[in-house]
Amino acid sequence: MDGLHTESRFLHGGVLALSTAPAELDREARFAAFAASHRERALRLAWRLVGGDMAAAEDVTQDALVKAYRGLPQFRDEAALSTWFYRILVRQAYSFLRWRRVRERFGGEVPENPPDTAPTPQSDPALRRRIADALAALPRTQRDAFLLVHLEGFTVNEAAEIMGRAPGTLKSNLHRARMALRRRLDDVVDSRGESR
Amino acid sequence: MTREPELEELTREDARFVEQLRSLYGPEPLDGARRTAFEARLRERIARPRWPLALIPTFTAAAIALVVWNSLPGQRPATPAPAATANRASAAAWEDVLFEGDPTQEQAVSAQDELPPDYKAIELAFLDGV
Repeated sequence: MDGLHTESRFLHGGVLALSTAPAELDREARFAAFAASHRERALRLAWRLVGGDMAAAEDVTQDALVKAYRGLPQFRDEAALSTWFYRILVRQAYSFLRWRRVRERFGGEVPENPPDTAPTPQSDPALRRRIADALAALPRTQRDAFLLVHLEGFTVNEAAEIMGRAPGTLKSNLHRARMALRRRLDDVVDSRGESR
Repeated sequence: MTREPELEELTREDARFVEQLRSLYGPEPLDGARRTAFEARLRERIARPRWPLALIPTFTAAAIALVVWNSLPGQRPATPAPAATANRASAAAWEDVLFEGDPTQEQAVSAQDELPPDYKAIELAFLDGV
């Protein structure tokens, strides 16, 4: 339903409706449906990857969606497109983090802890920062595996495809990530769990 | 896209830890206005022309070709002197010959063609032996 609404908005929004060729319309309809079904998940994953900065997550998601639109004709299979899209999204997120580090080092205009413009009501900023720091301290493969499988709900095989790793390697990364995060965050998460 | 098979492998404590972390560390879904702005910006970005990107391979290839051409040993023709300099040099030489005389040319003429005595007399009389 949401997909149909979004498709309608895209097709009647004025910009994409300019092209009238059937192939282009098909492409736009496919993209509208794809964007509608993946936007929230992509934003959530990007938000977690960039350490809880919503504006950055929106930029990263937009970059990945624009690339998905341009790469759409190469993919007939939605599953392959989806895997490719999330691979791009993860890359874009790390590219954003690298540039932010460069700007911090040479420009100095970026605050160390970027403010979240859409804070979650269920967690306070200090706790979010602590979780973000614990995730940032993990090696990248462990962090990606944990975010994709445990927080975003991808299967091990899907996450392995997105990351370009073998499922066995990914499972091992998941286990290590869980152990490391529990060591760092067990007190916080457990105490909050008990207080509920 | 289900996570149950992976979560089934977790211990109870691990599963609880993961569940709590997921609920504590996540953004709010986009509200209506923000979603509309997001989609509008996405449409604008998609409609933006890509021609500068399309030209990047061309410029890159041209730059590489230039570098390769310049790095080839002995392949380039000798650089001619700039036209203005060459003209100026030849004009200067012509002036030298005209007003000062070319010593080699003069020597060759005097060695090969001695004037006959009567012409020498005329030269002495009218041209002061020039």
